[in-house]
Amino acid sequence: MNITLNTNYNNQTYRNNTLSAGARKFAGSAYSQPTFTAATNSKFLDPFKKAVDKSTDWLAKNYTARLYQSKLAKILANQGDRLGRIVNHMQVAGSVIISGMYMTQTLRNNQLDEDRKKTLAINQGLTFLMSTVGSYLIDDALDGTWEKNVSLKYAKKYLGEDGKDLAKNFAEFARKHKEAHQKGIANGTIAKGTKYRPATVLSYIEKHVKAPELEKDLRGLQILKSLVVFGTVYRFLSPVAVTPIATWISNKFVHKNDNAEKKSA
Amino acid sequence: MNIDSIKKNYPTSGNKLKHKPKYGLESMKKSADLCDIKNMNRGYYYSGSFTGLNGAAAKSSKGFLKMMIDLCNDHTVIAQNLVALVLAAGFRPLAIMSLPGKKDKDDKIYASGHSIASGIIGFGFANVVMYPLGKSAKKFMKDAEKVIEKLTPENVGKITKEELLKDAKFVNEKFLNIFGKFSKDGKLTGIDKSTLEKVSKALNMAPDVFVFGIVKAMLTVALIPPILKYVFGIEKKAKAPAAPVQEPVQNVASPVKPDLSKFAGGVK
Repeated sequence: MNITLNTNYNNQTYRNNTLSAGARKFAGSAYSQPTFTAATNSKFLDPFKKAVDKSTDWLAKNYTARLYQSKLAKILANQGDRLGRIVNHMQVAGSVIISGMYMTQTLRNNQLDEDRKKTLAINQGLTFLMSTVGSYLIDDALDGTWEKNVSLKYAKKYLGEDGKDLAKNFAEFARKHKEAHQKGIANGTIAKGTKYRPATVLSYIEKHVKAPELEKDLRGLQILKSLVVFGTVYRFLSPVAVTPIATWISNKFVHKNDNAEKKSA
Repeated sequence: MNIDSIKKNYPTSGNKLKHKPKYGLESMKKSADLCDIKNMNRGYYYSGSFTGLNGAAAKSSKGFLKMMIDLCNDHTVIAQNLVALVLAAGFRPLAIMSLPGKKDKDDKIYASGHSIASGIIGFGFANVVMYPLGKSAKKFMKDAEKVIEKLTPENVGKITKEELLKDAKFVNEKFLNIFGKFSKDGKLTGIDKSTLEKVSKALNMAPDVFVFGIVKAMLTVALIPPILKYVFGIEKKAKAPAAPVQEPVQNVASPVKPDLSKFAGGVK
């Protein structure tokens, strides 16, 4: 890493500062700017980069290409709207596996007696259920707020001058989206009981603005929301909430058993 | 990284400035080009305080959000595990340890150790194992993008599959059959990019969920003792050979009380 601190007063910066604004304008206003450039062409890392590039090429050909063009991909592609919140569903699938493993581990544990095993396994199962339901509910409830406070603001900043009417236009788009849903239910074009989902800024941008980079960023923001909501519930809220509850249940259970043993003795 | 220059020199002696100079750094429209969003830099008058999204601080904060967005798009599993790392190795142990109750301190320490271990293993595993897979998926998607770009409104229905796939490195005909949109007479009219992206997300996350989930759980359990030792300063005691029972009346039913925090619910 090279760091050059130019503290010479006889430099372009100083000359620019001493010129009048008008003179500087005519002089081209080439004041010195700080530049941050990454040393990208490190020869030392070249062999490593090449090896990584080759191995990922091999993976892309022999793993990714096969997987993306497999029957499994076809089955997934045919799922339609069910794919909408796939990141949420995958996180739940991961939790099913981990919780299932812990439940099995508990039921097979020889240190615990039969009743206790069942109690703890049920506790684990209920925690998983509560976390899953809670995550989906919070994720759904945050939809509108997230769109308004995060996605819309991000899109506005991204679009700059072009996005000055974005909030107004999006509100109109969202209103029409809601009306269309209600009409669809009334007409029978949308099946009764179909859950209403508020319009997203992404869908508005896709239809009316067409900014691929922004669309990609908005998709990323939706994933970020999902990861934060599900992560917070699974990894923080429910384990922290369940710790004292689990201790209380198990202590009460052990205590009850111990008392029963004492009485019978 | 190369960093060069910057020292702005305002006269500090001699002329007393009644008004701040127009040629000062703060009045440059481009704000020293530190912020890419031009409309955010309209020469706010510098008052020595941070002025919203102006300058390098804004760049770095926006940079973090953009970095997270890109990570979510390109390496969803790493982003997921990064969030989990912050929660499981940071907030959760703090919250668990600050819960009331002195009796079950050991349980809380064990639960915290487990949490830290799972956060570290998840993030480490995602970086070592899932990063190359994510990178290869990105290469495949780039290749697919090239194929999709070839299909323009002008040549829809005219271009053959062979022509579309001519320069493709990884994409083949199966890809078109799965993600292609076809007219009634069987002509390719487009590629369903939205479905492709969703399927891509599912397939990218699948190995971490379905294949490595159990391995990670096992590694987590293995990492708990060193964490208990080096983070909490607790070393697992060796089993005492036939230790004399000091209080024979108590806990007759369960002479060895199992560590129940191990069995508490929730994703570890």
